[in-house]
Amino acid sequence: MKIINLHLNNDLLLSLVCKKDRRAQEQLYQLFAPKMLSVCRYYLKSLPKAEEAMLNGFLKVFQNIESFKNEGSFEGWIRQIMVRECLSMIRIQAKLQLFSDEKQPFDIQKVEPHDALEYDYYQSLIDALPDGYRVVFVLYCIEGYKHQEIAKILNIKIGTSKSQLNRARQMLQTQIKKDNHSNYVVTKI
Amino acid sequence: MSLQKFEQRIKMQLESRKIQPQEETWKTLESYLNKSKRINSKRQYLAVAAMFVVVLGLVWFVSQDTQLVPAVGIDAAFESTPINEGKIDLKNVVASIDSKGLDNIVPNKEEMNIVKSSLFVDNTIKTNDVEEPLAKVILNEDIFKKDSKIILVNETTIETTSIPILFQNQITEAELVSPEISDDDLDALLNPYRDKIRNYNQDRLAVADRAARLLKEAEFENNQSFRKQIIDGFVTGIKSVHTAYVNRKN
Repeated sequence: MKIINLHLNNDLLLSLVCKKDRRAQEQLYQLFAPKMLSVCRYYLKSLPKAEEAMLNGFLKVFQNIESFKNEGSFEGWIRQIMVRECLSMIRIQAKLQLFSDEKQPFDIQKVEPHDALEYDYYQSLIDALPDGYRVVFVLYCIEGYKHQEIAKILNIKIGTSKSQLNRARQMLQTQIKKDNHSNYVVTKI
Repeated sequence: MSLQKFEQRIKMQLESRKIQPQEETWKTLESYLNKSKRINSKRQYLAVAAMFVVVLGLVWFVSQDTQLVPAVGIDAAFESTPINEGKIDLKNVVASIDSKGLDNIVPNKEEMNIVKSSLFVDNTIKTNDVEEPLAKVILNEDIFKKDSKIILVNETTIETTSIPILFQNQITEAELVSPEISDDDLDALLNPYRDKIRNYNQDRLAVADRAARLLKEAEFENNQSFRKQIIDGFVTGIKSVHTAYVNRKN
């Protein structure tokens, strides 16, 4: 049985993964899965769905590992695949309504600000956003994409991306005020 | 807290979070990977099989191309006019052999030997010190180019154009010996040639008919063979694709 050191450097690990070494693949998965599941969770409201997207994403990572050219960070490359997988899943579910200006009910999850962990609270706020708003908000504020890039990824106009972000912010502000959570009050939009 | 700071806080909080996936997720992923590996190896086998079929088909096709149609040797008189004027250009063939050499014209040894033996048989009649090659290679050029299949016809007698010259020479010689030539002398001189011409004409008609028939048969056979090869190739290809499809479906 081949034993792989847990602290193997990334290059060696990658070269083994490229050779379809199952143990190396598992190690890579163990290394990045928790983070990537968290990334998928930004976009998909349910954890099983996020897990499914992550699984598909890893499948693509392992199948196309040769196309990674060591030009950027490996984590960034995996992350990009995960984001695209999540977006694809959202599209398949036909829930993405980026072109609709119709306001959707702000249905926040059952996470109370005072007894939740801070990031759970934030996740619940993001989950409560409509799909289109949520995707643009996460891509812009968390992933750090620019409007031009978002427009390209989602195949929408730059103006649409901006307006979606604006609406997402408004909804978040409203909700936080409603929660009256002093720690997270937004004072200025 | 400003909006910017609020968003930064969201980002920081969410980025610091890690969600541990279920243990079964890796097993599921592993099973997908195994499945995809199986599919890939299956595809590789199919690709190899398809390549093998293609190579086999090519080898077969090429080997069909170089097969020699049994050469037909006709031991009879033959005129210099080609049997089938539309397809045979004896001058070109002889010129090609002269310029390129037999080895470059005739693709395999067997054919080369046949041509050599036909061309260089010393059955010539010398007329005015010009030695004519009497062995004629009758080639259907189309067939030659496509499949290197040849038909040989050996000529063993005189050229029609040679007879008057030969006759004229003999009259001149006779006049030199005896300036007055009687009709009987002329008849005596002509008689052997009359017989020769008669025989020659009879023979050449027979040979022409036979050669034309053989050519037609060879052309027909060649066309049939080519068509059959194409159709067989298609059928084999379709069968391979069908098999691959069924395998994949299974």
